[in-house]
Amino acid sequence: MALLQVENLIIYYFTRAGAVKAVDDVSFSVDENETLGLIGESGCGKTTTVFAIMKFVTPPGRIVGGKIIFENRDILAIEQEEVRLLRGQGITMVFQAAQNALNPVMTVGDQITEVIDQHERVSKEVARERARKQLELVGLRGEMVKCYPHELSGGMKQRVGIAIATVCNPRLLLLDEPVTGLDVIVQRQLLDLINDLRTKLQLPIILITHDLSVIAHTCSKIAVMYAGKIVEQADVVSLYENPLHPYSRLLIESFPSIKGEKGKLSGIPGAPPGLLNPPVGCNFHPRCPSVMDICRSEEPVSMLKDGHLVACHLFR
Amino acid sequence: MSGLLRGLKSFKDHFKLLLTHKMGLAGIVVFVILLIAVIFAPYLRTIDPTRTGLAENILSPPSSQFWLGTDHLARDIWSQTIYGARIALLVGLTAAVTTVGVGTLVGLTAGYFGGRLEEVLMRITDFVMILPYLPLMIILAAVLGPSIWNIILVVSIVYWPFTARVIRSQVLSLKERGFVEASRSVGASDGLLIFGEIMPNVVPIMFAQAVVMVTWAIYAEALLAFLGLGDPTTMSWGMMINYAFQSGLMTMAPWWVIPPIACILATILAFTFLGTAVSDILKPGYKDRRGF
Amino acid sequence: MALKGFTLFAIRKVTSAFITIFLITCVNFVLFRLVPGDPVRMLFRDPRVSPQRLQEMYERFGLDKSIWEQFIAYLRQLFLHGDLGYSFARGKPVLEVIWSRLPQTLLLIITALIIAVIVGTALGAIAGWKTGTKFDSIIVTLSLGMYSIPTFILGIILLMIFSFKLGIFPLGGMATIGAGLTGWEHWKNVAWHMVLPVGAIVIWYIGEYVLITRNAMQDVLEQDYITSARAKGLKESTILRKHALRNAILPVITITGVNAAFAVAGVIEAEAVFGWPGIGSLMYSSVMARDYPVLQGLFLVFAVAVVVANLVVDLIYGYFDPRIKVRGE
Repeated sequence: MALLQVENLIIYYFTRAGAVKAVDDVSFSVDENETLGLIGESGCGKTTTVFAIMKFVTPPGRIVGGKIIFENRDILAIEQEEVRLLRGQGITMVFQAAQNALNPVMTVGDQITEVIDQHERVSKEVARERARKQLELVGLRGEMVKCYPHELSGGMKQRVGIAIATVCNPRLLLLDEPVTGLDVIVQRQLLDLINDLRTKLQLPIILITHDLSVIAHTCSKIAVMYAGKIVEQADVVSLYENPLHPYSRLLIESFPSIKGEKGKLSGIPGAPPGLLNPPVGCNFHPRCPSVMDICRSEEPVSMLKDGHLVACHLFR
Repeated sequence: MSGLLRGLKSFKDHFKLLLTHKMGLAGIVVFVILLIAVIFAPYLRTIDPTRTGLAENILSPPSSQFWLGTDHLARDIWSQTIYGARIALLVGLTAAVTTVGVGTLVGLTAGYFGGRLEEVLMRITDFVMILPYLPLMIILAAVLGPSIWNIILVVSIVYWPFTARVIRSQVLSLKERGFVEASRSVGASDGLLIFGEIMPNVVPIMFAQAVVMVTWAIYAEALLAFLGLGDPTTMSWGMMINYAFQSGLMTMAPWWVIPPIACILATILAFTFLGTAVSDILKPGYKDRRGF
Repeated sequence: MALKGFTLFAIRKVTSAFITIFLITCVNFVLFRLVPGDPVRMLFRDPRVSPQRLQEMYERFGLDKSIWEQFIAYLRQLFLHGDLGYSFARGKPVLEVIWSRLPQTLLLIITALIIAVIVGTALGAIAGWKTGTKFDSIIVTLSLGMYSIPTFILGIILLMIFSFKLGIFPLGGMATIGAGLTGWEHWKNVAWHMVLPVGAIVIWYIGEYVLITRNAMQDVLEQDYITSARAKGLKESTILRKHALRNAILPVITITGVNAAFAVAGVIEAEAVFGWPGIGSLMYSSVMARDYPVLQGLFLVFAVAVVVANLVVDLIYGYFDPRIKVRGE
């Protein structure tokens, strides 16, 4: 039984101009030992999807349909109060590196003990000790509990974020662009840390990014999103070696590889569609190199092919 | 030149937006009423507001002869109220122009040229700002003497730093956008940059500041008049309040003090509304939020 | 380590304050000596000035010497002897005149400040937390209105309505004259007299705090650490308290310093309207009486009060914002 199962999730943003279909019938699942990478261009709906898992969708956005089943309960159906209890200890989140996700007037240690106090009944000393241990677990010095966020570098702040998200032994960890904006060496260190923690804590992870190399480094499964829909899902190696959907293929090709022969840099011509009035038929058809007539009129359905779940008319 | 034209067109567009804003509309309506009072004063059934009248008419309540009653020297309060608008707008608009003028000059220079000049200018600005404005105004007015022009001068002296700071910070944020350096690197002269690029962005802020300064100036003139530092040759709304209060008869003749108070409040509120409307409109994304 | 940063910060701020105060005394000197219609020279024509006093002034302030020497004498009298001059209109040293009326003003201003801070920040915080609701719109409109009415006009309105028309509160003054009340009764009487003047000052003050706190709250609520706090599963009340308020309070502290000048104006206006015997109405009556020495002393007192208020606020802010402590800015 999958730990997390997202079924037909639909999220719209209701603006004056109309309803923006940010997430349009998205389904995927995450098992106990999996690491799912969610990749796509800016605005494709990946962050909104993951935020929905924590029921973080705020007006003008609204979850219009679907189910998010976590540990056999539909999160979208339970009370807000119960969702709150789940946050921080059942499902936790680490935010984008570039954001100021840490409260500037509280010490790092206090921000960690805060989570512990919220969910568990332990004494102050025990909580403080755990905070120190957690910092050490993520590669920082224990004394840093006394530090304020502005005294830390970007990479250090992200480690703190990871410490906060793991201190209560969550059963699912969500990471939103955890290394974007940090320099490559720090990126590598953080990703290694994430991998390390994943094995140590036996933690399933969903990781959002627009950078394929990040996914390659940490994920076992990958879901490619485009314009509010998942166009292809497969395990990482299989997708790299044999991308089926034209978008996945173009995406992979647009990432230059450090090794191997030099080629021309390619991009994907055109721009993602506005989600107020997405194209009729397949969302990708205006930019697709393999577009066929049927693509302009009928939406493709997700089907199994070569072990991938792919939504494309090429594979009927 | 193109910057100037752009500025004018943008002014016209913004003005149209202002009319759709509830507060902006209210502000403009009151302003128009004031203008009518100012321009058509002699035709609005008024007499010389300082002309004292017959003893039997002293302190009489509103009647068909004296629409708003009379004061303790049998002067017509309706006339005083109407003509008072002239003083109010004169002081308000003149002081606004001089204050914003000086403030912009200082802020622009400091922000654009930076370095030592900026440091010196800003230190002066900060120093003048820290002096408490009312004691300063009172002393300056007392020392300079009671005249409407002195009052305008005093108001400008006290308030220009506020505008200077706002303008400077706007210029600094414009500089940060990089196009100043970029333009300089291709040889654009300072003059071109200032008038072509910086000014169009600064003008809306100047306008918003001017609106605020009108309210502050009207308040200052009224207060100074109330405190006995006003120009005795004028009959401004503030002077009316002063006479009413000093006479000790204010409580017996509410019709004396209510009109000037109502006018001052209405004018201040109207310009405040205008100011809020202007700053709302200037915020990016205003058109989208209103569904244009 | 943090404490060391704070000490440095405090030293810088205090030094800066002293420099500013010194500059203010210079400006004070200039204001009264170098302007047309030099008030000091007017003293020679003032019939209330006795020859001995004139002689004393000559000696103490070096009035027959050069401007520079006068300046030095002025500074010496001020800083070494605490001598603010002599009020001829009242026949007493300026310091004594001001000192005797200072407590009454402090009573008004401190009461107004406490009420404004408590009520204003509470309402503003709630309005900010609940932006967009009906409650919020009402609060904002009310506050904008309250903030725009000049204090002296509000004072007159309150006087007309509550004092004259409804007779609830007295027509002015600090205590009922000749009532001979003592102790608790006296203070009740004073409190009754205080309601309208404090009311006039506080209306503006509350409006200001509501708007500032609301703005601060809105800014804070957009921050990412609020989403982080939600992701931790914290209760909304905890988030409001520990995350939102603790950050929103910072600009509110700052504004208290900026407000000092406006508070001074408010107190002068209220005292003038209600005849409250403090240094505000002292300024008013001194203008009437052309008592320049007192005016000069008052300017100094008000200006220094504002500088000190800003200094205290800066120090309090430095204590609450850890980013300042460490940088020692």
